[in-house]
Amino acid sequence: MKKKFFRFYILFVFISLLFLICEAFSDIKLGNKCYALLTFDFRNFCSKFLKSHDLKEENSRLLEKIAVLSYERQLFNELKKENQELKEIIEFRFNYPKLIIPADIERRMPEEVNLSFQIGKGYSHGVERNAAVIGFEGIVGKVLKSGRNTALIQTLKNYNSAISVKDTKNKAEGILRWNKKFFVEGIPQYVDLKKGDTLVTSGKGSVFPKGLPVGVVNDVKKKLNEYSLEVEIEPFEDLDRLDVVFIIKK
Amino acid sequence: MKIAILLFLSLVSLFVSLNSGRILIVGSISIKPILILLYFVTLYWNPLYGLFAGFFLGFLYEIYLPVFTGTYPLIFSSVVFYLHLIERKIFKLRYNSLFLLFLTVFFVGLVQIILEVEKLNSIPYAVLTHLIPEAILNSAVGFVILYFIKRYRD
Repeated sequence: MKKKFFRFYILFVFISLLFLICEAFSDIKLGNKCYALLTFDFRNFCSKFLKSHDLKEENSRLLEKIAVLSYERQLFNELKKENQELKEIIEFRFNYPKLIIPADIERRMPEEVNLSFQIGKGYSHGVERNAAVIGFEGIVGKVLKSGRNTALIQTLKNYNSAISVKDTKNKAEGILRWNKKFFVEGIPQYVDLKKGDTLVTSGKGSVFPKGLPVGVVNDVKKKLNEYSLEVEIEPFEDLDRLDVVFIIKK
Repeated sequence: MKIAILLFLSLVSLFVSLNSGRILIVGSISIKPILILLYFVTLYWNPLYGLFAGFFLGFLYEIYLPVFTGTYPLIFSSVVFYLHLIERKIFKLRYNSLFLLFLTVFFVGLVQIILEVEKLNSIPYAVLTHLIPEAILNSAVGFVILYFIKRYRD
């Protein structure tokens, strides 16, 4: 009896010390787990089990709500985008009052490699032939033909397009053309033109006013026995993504 | 049957201990039913029962106390062990043997105070105002129980 008692006492002391050491010196909470078992809330468990049917209904209701909210979110994003565009148009018109006629692009007409737009405004709105056309970022082209309520825009992406541009840093002038890529010809080789330099319209010719942003220099090459530099440029305006253009009144 | 009685008494003592702050309190001192149970079960009934009761009651008791798990099983088991060691050296049926209950309650209370208080210099004050009166109160309860045990044996 005494031996048995002593053995049990040693066992209980060992268990108690094991719990104490685990709690005091490590993150293992043996006690918490034992107490979780001892104090298992059976009533709460039963009520949770009984409520599982309600949870299913609630789940399906919430799924429907998520679908509606997702649709509304998409709608909201569209409206946000439209709002931003309208804001930009208003700001643009505010900066150039009376001179600017905004117009939506109704149709794109890629004739082989030349890109033209048809816009929803014509001479009845003040759109005249050879008027300069710009976008939010920079120059787009010019009005080729003007009907009563529509007009045809010749963009920069046209073999016949030739615009007089100048470098804002060196004031060196050249002609912007397009032949599957944009390039400027006529800038002498002694001009210190570098990648990243900005080009604007020079104002020469009767179409484009002075100082309209055109693009940045993308690449400059010097060729032996030639007078001018070979300058490749990247236009500011992305012509393939335009929705609205502005016609500058003469 | 014996185990059922032990289980019943253990649960009652646990319940009373956990609620003694509300029902069995005189000033700041209270009765310790678990210690009284362990004392009498170990000395007057079966020491092994006392050991088991001490260990498992320790676990249940400390659920509600901010101490590391394993503290009270260790304390209660050790109390039973030492009571069993000196069992044969005392004459149990004399009332002066209750001094052992006084010492048991005193030392367990001392350990409790050391575990609970932040400043050790407040311990002497607690010994005078809390521990000794509590040990006397519990011994008085033990006196009543021993009286009934003696009458039953006679």
